[in-house]
Amino acid sequence: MKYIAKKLITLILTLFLISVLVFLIFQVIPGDPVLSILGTEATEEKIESLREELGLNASLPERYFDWLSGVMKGDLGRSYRYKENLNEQMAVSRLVAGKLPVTLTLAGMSLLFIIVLSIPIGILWGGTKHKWLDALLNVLAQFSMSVPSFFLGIIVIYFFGLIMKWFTPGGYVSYKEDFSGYIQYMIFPALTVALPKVAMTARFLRNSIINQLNADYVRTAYSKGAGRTRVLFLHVLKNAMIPVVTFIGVIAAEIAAGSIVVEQVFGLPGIGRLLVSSISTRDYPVVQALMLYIVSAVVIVYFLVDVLYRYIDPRVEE
Amino acid sequence: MLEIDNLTVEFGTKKVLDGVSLTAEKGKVLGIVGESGSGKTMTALAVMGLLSPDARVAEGSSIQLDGKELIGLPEKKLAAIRGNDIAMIFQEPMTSLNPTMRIGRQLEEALRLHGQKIPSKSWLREKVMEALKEACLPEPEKQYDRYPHELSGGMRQRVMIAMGTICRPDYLLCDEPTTALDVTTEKGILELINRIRTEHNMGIIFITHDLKLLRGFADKVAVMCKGKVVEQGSVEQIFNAPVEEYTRRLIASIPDRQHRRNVKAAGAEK
Ligand SMILES: Nc1ncnc2c1ncn2[C@@H]1O[C@H](COP(=O)(O)OP(=O)(O)O)[C@@H](O)[C@H]1O
Ligand SMILES: [Mg+2]
Repeated sequence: MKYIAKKLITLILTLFLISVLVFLIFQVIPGDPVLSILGTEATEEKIESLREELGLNASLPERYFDWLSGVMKGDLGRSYRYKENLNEQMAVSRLVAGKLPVTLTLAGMSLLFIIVLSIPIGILWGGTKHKWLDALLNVLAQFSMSVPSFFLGIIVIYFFGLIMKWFTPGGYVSYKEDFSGYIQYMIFPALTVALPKVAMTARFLRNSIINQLNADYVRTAYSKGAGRTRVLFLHVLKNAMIPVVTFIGVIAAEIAAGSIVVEQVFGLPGIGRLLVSSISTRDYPVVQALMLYIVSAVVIVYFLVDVLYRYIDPRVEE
Repeated sequence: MLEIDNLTVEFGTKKVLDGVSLTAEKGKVLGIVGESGSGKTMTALAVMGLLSPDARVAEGSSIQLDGKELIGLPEKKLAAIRGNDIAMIFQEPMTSLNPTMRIGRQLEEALRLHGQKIPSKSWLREKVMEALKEACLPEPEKQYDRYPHELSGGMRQRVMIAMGTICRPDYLLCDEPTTALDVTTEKGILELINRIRTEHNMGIIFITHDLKLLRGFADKVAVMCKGKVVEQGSVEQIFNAPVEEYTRRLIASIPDRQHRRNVKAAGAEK
């Protein structure tokens, strides 16, 4: 409990630091938000009133806490580019809220595929005595790791969409309209994201298992009369999974940030595409919000990995 | 009787054991002594059938347990013998236990594996507790739920001994069980092994590179050098009248002045 509390405090401090950094970065970026919103032909009066309204005349710490309390309440400012209606800029929170569920679904489903597929494959791979199976899995893994993701996406669309007809390429439906149709469609981009990571994770687990099979405690288990299967599942697996948990954590953090390429190939309205377009149009409030999300997601995933560690490795102490 | 006859083990073309012949008896201690790399561990692993897959046991080698040949036995049958008829404890108490499994569970496993009827969970726990107490592990109730890293080296070696003897095997192979421990702990472990031997009439093969440990303990000593048994005899014979120059050097490396004098005298007589 003490361990988790300690990690939680670290997490909160890190998130605080991140918020300061993300805030400061967008203070030093050149460009006047007021001019970006109103355009260069605005009147002096209008500029001044918007400055006041946006709180730009306050001191830096004041502006930070103002911004932070807004963020806490879900107010992330307004987009420079997107308009709600003729008079109002769109709220960043609304903009992101529309896209974030797609990215989170994609990340969650990919992670599920990665865990469900890579662990059995890794066990099979690490535990096999057959040279041919080892070689076969190696070729398959090399292949799925080396194919660029846009191409892998095309292969998935071609095979599952056009040949097997399991889904309609480009037929994305929003979760608000048809949830089960949405999930069915999302399977295929998630598979595309997952495949190379499945290969990486399975290979990592394989190496970890082979490493552990040489450990002294394995010899002890055999000397008690344990058979190979028992040794593999009861003794080796838990020990071999310890580094794999970290590995999966790194991957989870990576996919939580969204995959621009896969979103593009499958026509998904996720934050990956939003991020790219916002950077190119200098829609800083949106970029800021997305940065805040991505960095926080990474830190939170690492926190969860730390907590999980506590349960699988008894040697982890305060 | 556990009879090793003409045991030869090769890694590729390298012979690590060359015609080793030894006999261990129930209730007796056979000491195997030799410098590092002389093939002591290989001998024990061969008996357990736990040599690495790239080791080859040569034609004509034999290991018999009460007249039953062990070499060439299928893995299933070997597994039934391991821990049940012949058990082994290892040199490295720090790494020989599974770091992510509780002590109690690791001992339980030995019982579960050998098909004894397990009437209840509490029976299992009782049996484990008995074995831990017999091994003189302090506060066995507490250690039961602990993980190996929470125990000292000496305590872990006691756990290994409890685990090795919980199924009452006929033979216990001890591969330098005290090398990693300090002198006081070493003494306790030796006393423990000796006590269990007398209580259960167990045959002990005690491997060491330290000849003096075998005095007053071993009934018979085999001296190994470069994969061969170069000398065999009672402890007195080996100590007082070593035939081989190699054995004399082993004795001479013991930091005990009285002994070195004895050895010199024995050498001079020749
Ligand atoms: N996998 C292996 N391949 C080749 N030689 C090995 C292997 N394992 C051990 N040996 C050799 O076998 C010999 C005997 O080793 P071992 O029985 O461990 O010695 P001891 O226990 O007496 O110190 C050593 O010379 C060692 O180098
Ligand atoms: Mg050795």
